[in-house]
Amino acid sequence: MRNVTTIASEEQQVTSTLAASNDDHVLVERAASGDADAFAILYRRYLPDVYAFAYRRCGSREVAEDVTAAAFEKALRNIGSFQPSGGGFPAWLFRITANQMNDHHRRSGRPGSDRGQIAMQRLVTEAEMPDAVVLQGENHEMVRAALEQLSPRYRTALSLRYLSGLTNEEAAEAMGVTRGTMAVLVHRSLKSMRRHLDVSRLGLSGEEPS
Amino acid sequence: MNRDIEHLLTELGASDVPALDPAFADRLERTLRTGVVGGGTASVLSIRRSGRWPATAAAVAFAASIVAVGLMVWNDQAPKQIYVTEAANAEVVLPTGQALPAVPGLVLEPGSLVRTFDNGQITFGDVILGPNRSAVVDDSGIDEAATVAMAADPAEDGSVDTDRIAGPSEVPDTGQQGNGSGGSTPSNPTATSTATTTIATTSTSVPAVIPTTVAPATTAPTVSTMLAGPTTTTVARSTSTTVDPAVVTTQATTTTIDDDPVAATTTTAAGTGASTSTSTTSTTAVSTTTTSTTAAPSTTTTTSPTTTTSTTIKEPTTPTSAVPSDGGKQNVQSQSDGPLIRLQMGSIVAIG
Repeated sequence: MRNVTTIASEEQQVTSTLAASNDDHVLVERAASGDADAFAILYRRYLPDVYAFAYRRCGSREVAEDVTAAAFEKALRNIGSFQPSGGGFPAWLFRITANQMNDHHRRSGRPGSDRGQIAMQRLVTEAEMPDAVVLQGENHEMVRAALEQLSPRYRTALSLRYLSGLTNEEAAEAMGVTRGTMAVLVHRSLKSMRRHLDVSRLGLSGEEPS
Repeated sequence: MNRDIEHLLTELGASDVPALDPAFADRLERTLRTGVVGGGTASVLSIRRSGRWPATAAAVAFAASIVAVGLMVWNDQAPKQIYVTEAANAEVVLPTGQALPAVPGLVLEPGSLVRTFDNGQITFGDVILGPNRSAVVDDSGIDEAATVAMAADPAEDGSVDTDRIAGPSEVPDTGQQGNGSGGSTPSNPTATSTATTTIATTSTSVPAVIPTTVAPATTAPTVSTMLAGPTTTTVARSTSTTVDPAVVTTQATTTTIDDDPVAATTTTAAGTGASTSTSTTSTTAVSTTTTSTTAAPSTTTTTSPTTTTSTTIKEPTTPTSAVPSDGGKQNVQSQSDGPLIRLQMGSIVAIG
């Protein structure tokens, strides 16, 4: 049996060659045909962004890792059905991640079921934080709580638009809508989200948008 | 206000994220790679949860133990079945009266009579019946090894190693002596009743202390031995004995085995004449108590919760009127046919 070091070395050689000469579409095609190295390149390329997206959505490292693993598993399983015409691979991958996040919250039984865990983490760490950082963290929690109150479609739209790092066009592709439709969807999502936010605590004006 | 919410969302989207655990990333990549190479999909949902394996393993172990206990209980409650494992020159009489030759695998239904002939032997479970034996299977069947050694025929030297085999070879030498007054020499087998219980590897040594003058009498000693623990055996035997009325000697032997019945030695002594003797012999694993009662109309001895010895002696009779009753004839007939043993859960109980 080859040892792990040998395997890792071989993988590095192969993947470096692939990464230097192929874009996402080629890698996806090769991964769909069973090329493990091709999918490994995609995985390494997007793992940090996917993980960061998941973490910003939930605020929990453990949940973010769970969601990340599930997202890549689903991407691997369905990579044969990936259509380049529907947007790029990152848009497709973030859409999967957003759906996995929604599934996670649905399975957990109630929105914000990870709040207890998150609150405990914050109790441990906030003691040494500056007040501004603590306040910012509280605001993030309220935003996440408000996101969780939205419908899955609105929640996905806002997440892809603001938390994934995708451009407007990529977010629209990920949602499978045009840029105009995406703009309307985001506007309605924000309006819906406002009803779930504690305006007074966030220091917002509370005025209706024109 | 939408702008404010947008600002909050943008701020959240730009917030710091804890560094990704490299171990998690490596595990996930290897799992995904394996899934691709293997042509299937990897189950990576458990990747991050792999750090929680102690709790999961504990839960699984607890569940497995519950299942195991349940299976054990269920197994104990399951009816036990007795079947012939080895047989030679033996037959089984079913409760319906149908007699079948005993063959390996034959299931012994409750109420079945097992009988061995000359040079015959039958084995069911750990119980071995030697030649010229009869046994009745009880409802509850046989659970553990039980071997019964019953005095029936004389052995050459009066000392037999039965080694889990019940048969005539265990019968002590009870050769008849003709002095008519009771003595300590071997005598006729009909003169003294001896019941010996042998468990596991048992060595039975019975001194031939038989009255010289023997007349038919009725003695029906019953020895019942219960062994605690997984090997529980109850042995009872009905033996008819013709004894000198003046010297009615019965021997009841109790054997108590504390641990695994690896070795047991039963020593039987007889009292003769007007004397009563009691001897106790102890070995490393076996404590043997032998009580001899002379000319007692009825003697019952009970030893410990695990051992019960009962000896019943009818009224002493004169040598010339030694066969006074039908019961005595019946007992004699029983002896000539061999001992009749009732088998039940871990026990063998004689039926007279």
